[in-house]
Amino acid sequence: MKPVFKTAGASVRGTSHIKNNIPCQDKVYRCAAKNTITISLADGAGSCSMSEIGADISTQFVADYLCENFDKIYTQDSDKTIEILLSSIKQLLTRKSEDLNVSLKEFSSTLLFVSVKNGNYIAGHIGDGLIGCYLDGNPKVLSFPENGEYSNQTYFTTSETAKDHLRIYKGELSTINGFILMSDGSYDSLFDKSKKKLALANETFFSWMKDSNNSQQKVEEALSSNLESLFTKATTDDCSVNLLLISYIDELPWHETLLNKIKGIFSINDKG
Amino acid sequence: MNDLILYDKDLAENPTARIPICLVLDTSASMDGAPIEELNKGVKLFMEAILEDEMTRFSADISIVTFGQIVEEELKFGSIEEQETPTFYAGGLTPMGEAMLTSVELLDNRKKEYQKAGVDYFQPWLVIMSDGAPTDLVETEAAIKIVSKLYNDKKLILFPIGIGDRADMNKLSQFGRPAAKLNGLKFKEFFEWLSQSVSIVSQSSPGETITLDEDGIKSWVTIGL
Repeated sequence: MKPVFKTAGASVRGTSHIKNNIPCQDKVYRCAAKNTITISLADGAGSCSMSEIGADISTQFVADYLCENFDKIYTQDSDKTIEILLSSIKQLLTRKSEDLNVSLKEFSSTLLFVSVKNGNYIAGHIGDGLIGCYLDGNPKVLSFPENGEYSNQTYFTTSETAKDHLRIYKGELSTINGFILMSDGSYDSLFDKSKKKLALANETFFSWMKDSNNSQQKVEEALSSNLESLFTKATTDDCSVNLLLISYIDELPWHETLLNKIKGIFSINDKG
Repeated sequence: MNDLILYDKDLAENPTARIPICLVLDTSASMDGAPIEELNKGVKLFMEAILEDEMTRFSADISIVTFGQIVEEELKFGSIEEQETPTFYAGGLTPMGEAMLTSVELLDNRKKEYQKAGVDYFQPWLVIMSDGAPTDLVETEAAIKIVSKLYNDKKLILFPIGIGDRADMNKLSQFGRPAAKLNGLKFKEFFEWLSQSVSIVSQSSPGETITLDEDGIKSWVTIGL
């Protein structure tokens, strides 16, 4: 069986960002390379003036790096992975801060990611937001948000104690056939805090992804419009989600694959 | 037209993050006359402003403790839509320490209730307003130790406010930060500023440095916060 990946992500501006003329500081990103797929999401820190740039840099770096180095990271000690990821992100952000002549803190963001290759996954999370996984389509929490005691406190990639708060998860996919990353704005609508349970919408997202009639573009448009029309009513913050579906198709024997390629070249269909 | 639509029933309904606020107000005999009248008007205006703002209506969680004849919890924490603003009367001494200890306990209990119910919350706010010096010195010293530690540990947002020339600014400042002096009887301006500040905090997100309205402070203060 050959794994097939489908991703869809979206982020929308929160009402307080629109009111205060602040850009959307949530960023989502995907990378597919070397038989690896990685999705990432970052939520730029509230009043940090360049946090959307920091979120952009962090999501892109981590996704590209994991696609490039999955096998090494999978077998590596997690402490070493944390050290490499944080120091690389800090280096990139420092370079950007020097270019723009602002302090490193201005690029602060949370970071969430999931990478999949050959039946294994690696996930990482610092700060608020949530990582969920789908076990045969049923959503479960893989990584809870880490806030301070108070509502407006969390941890960022630029925090002094970041290495103590970046959590790495690794394992075999087994029955996992999807992942969802959400920012804290979306978390307000996708997680029931008193029941400590993921909301029904998480299952709905999975069904959208699973339906082969729904292209990536169609799901992304739906995510954007639903985030905007519903999620931003429950929070003033930006809202974002990033989804990954893993499905499997039968792999054809080599000679049939070759035959199909030849047919494709000469535009021959089975009816002649 | 995209047919992939979510409905309200698909989403979690979480309560708005709360800002617990305790107003600790001096109602001793020296507040009699214009000061208590202006204080009553100011608190009424504060409650109305909180109720009118679509964010603070759901996030501000207010209690009021007065100290004069006795220390009394005049208003219990709860939904502002169901709260009735009390009217204060002046009389008695200035048991400031006992009032501060009471307010810290109320705030702490409220936080435990939030935690039990899965309600997110911001740092608690404590506003102490007095026109005199404390008359319960032992309790005041105990309150100073507890409140200043909470303030220094960033577990409390504190606003110590002196009213008039007889306010013990030194004692008020010992609670953790330099006390501000109200300009005359500008309670209205102070409470207007306070409600706006609650509104700013209620809309803040993680990592945000909250800047309170500096120009607004100038409208009610002679010695700044």
